Amino acid sequence: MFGLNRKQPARISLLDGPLCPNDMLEQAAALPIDAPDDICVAPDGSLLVSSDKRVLRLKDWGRDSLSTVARFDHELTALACRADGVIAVGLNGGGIRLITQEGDAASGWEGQENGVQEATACTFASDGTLLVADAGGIDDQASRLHDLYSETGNGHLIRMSETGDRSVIASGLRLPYGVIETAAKEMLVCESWSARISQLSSDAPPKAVLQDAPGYPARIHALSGGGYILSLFARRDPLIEFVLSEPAFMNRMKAEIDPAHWIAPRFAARADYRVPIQMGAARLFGDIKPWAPSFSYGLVVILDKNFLPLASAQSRANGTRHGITAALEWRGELIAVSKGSNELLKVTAMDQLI
Amino acid sequence: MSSVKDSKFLSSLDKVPKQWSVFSYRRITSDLLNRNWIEGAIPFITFFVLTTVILMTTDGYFAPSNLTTLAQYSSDAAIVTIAMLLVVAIGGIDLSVGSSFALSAFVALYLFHIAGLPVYLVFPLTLACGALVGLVNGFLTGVLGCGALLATLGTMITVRGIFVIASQEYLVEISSSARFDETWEYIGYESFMGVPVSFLVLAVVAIAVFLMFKYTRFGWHILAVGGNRKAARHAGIPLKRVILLSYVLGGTLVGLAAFLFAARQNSAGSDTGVGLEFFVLTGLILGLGGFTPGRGSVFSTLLGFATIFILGNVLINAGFRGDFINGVMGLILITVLAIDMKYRKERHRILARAYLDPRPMKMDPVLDMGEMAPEFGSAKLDGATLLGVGEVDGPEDVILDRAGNLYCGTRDGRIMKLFAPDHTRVETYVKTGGRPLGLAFDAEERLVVCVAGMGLYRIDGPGQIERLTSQTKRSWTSIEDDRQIRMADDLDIAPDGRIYFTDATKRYEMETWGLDLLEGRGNGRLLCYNPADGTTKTICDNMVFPNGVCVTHDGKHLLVASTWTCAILIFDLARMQDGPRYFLRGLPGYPDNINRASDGGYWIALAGMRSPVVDLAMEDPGFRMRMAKRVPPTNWLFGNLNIGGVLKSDRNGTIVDAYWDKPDGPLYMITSMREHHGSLFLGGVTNNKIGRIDLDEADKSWNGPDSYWPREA
Repeated sequence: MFGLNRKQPARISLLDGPLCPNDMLEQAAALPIDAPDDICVAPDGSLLVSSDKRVLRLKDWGRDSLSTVARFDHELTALACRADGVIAVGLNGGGIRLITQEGDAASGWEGQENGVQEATACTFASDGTLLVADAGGIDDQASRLHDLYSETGNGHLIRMSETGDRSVIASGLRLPYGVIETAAKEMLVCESWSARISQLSSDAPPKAVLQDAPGYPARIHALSGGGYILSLFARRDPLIEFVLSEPAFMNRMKAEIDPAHWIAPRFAARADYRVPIQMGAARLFGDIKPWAPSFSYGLVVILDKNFLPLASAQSRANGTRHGITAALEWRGELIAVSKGSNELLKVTAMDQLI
Repeated sequence: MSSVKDSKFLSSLDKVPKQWSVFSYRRITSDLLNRNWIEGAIPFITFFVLTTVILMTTDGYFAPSNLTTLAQYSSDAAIVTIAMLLVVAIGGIDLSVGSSFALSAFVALYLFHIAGLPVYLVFPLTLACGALVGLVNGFLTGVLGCGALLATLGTMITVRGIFVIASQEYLVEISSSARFDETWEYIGYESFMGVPVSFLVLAVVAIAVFLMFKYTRFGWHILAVGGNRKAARHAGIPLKRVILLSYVLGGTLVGLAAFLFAARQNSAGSDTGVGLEFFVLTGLILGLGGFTPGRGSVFSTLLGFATIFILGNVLINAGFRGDFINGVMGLILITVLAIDMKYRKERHRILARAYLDPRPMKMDPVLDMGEMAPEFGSAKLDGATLLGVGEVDGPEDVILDRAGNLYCGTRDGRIMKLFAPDHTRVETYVKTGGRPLGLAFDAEERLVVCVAGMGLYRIDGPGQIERLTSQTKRSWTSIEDDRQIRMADDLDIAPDGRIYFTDATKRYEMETWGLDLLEGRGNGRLLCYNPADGTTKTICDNMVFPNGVCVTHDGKHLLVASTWTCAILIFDLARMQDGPRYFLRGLPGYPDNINRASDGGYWIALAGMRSPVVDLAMEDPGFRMRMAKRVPPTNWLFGNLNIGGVLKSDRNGTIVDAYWDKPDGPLYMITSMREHHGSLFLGGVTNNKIGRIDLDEADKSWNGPDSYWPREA
């Protein structure tokens, strides 16, 4: 009685203030890329893009200046580059490859290539070691969604070095999808299914520096002059949060239904006809309203050094540039990867954004 | 074209099981809460409980002699309660009733004993005294606009002062008066056929006030002003006059009560009428179940008063002190007000929660569509010609006459006519005032239309609309009055002229029909209107969202789409009482309208696609219930309404073809289609256009009206 014993619903930050909806991602210049996933900047100032099974190099913005650096047998799932030019590549099905700028195998990393189940993001620390976020499953959408609907975390954060050292820094993470070392030599991990960013340091317990995010955080990159660029691959949704609170339904859905048809966050706006909609997403006169609920969304957030949002670039429910898995600053521009529309986006000049 | 659907074929189909789960405690609760008389039940229940307790604890309390005494002594205060009701009903309050009562009683005694006036003069002058106090109150609150609470507090003190001064002067003289008058005595002490005169007066007053509130303009004005002063003013009700008059009328009734009191007591004391306003207010609030202006429930109020009066009386008999009794009264007053406030705040919420009442529903497995599934094959609706773009808002159904003119209903209540041959000229054909959905032509080629929210209508020409029916018989199992046809959806006309039409859901409206899916309950019905005698009958009740209706080519059977069960049902028109059988089940989407095809088969519109997750949710009513409570409506899980299509069934219920648009194409939620001279016209309830595609293999000479009403050769 009097509403005292009601269950508290999940907390989801509103898109308000600097996160007020806009259509900057929809307006962005785009470069079609086949199955893009991650990006990083090479020492020579060019942009490296992982595309399906290849690493591409973009010298200048434009389709003509794309060239292939290396080709692999599996889809790429993570990409990072060290100041001396060593490129780390995560492969679907497990494994890390380290190559040079020319695409040859880099020397000295033997023995580190296996033992990672599902690299989702990697970054080089200032001491030259490689930090790898390992989601702990097999890399396909289905297994990641299973992770969403099971409360346990299978993910790890692994540190490895040329000398052959390897250590697990953190375990039990729920889909770690981004990792970065801060200027203060602390590690930040984006835990997607927990909708938070945790700070890990060698001598202190993990600390959540950003919680109740409005979306599922993916890769994070540093902003020149302090702060971060965070990409979120989908928006959190009250219906999904509700399903999370319904174990019986959740288990039947996991057991009986193809993950492709689940109630779940998605990269792309368009889905199979057997995917349900939410009532507010019904088309009127053929159009989906921009404010309609949707299982996919495009969202890049600029955070200051205290993780407070400064600005955002978005693609709303009626847009297509959803599933932003990586975003960084390149030559003063905000560059983002849209997995939903298979495009590389040049959003806007950074100084216009903040 | 020969008929294939002989009786053998029909009996080979499965019968649709009867739905018994239309009964549920939740629905009964919510339907009860929805009824208006439920609030009136509160004082009745309180009174019943009290009398039961007294019956069990006190011997002879309800003996005739005691009842007579009670009736005699309670009548004057009961009349004051009615006076208070008049003032409360208008949105005011009168604290001066006690003082006014005392002063009027004094006036009556003075005029009778000291001035020696005859009773027929004493009576009107006493009433005038009460009316005068009412006039002052009415002037202060109604004309000057003072707050009723403070204004009547002022008159209460002033009038009490006058009474005290006057009574000190004359009370001794009055009590020593020896005047005797038969009429006076008769009013005060006698009974008429065993009932005290004062109680008869009360009965007359109660009935008169009841009739006034129920049938007179003045009574309605009082309730309107009390219900919403601003709205009453906008409606042109003379506020000041109505308020003034109701105070005067209330004051007059106080005078009447005082006259009865004076005749009975033949004396007055300094405590006469003290605390009376508090006493009658407690009764009133108990009777009305709270302090509610704009309600004129005389008998509830009297019941509340009787409860309080008897309770007080019993407590006095039991030897409790007056102060204690006052305390009890105050406690009752506070409790009723608190409960009422909480209930009033929560009622709509309790109602909304209890109203949605999901039931488990096991969906049939989806038919294997093979190469016809939307993910395979070419999008056959891609490149359709679009008609009336932006000019038709929500063509749920489309239909063509023999001349090839196209008609459709719109969201704003119009039926549009798109003129042959190219359908570029669009005009309003008729305005219905509701939401026109299903369309059909009768034998005279007049359009008959289902208007959601209104009923079944016939259009005799441009702008000429005539109601055929809006009600059916009330079903005996429903607490909610279900006579009204709530969401007339689609219709078809049998060769004998009978119009079969569906009332898709009895519990939701055009704007909230989505909730009916969450409920998954048999809330709809199939109705039949017989133009021969103008009667409407319920043919089959408790159907799950019955939607499209189609009389088969042979004119002997009826197809009805059950949207949420993704099935098409078939009735034998000659044996409707046998109930429906399954013509087609396990459709991959939600069927809407069904129409004849030129080759003897049927077109079935799919408004949306089934989703395995939604099917799973349909099996789990608790999940849907909790979702409705915890998740905002915009985020409720729903079947995919953003992709739809058209299925083609042969005459025996086998799917032979399917038409889809591209995933983001303009024809997505298809709710109806009509074949006409080799073209298929497609409408969608949330679209603003009508699609047309050419059918290569269709009979180019076929049209709907000729199929239903063949012209003599």
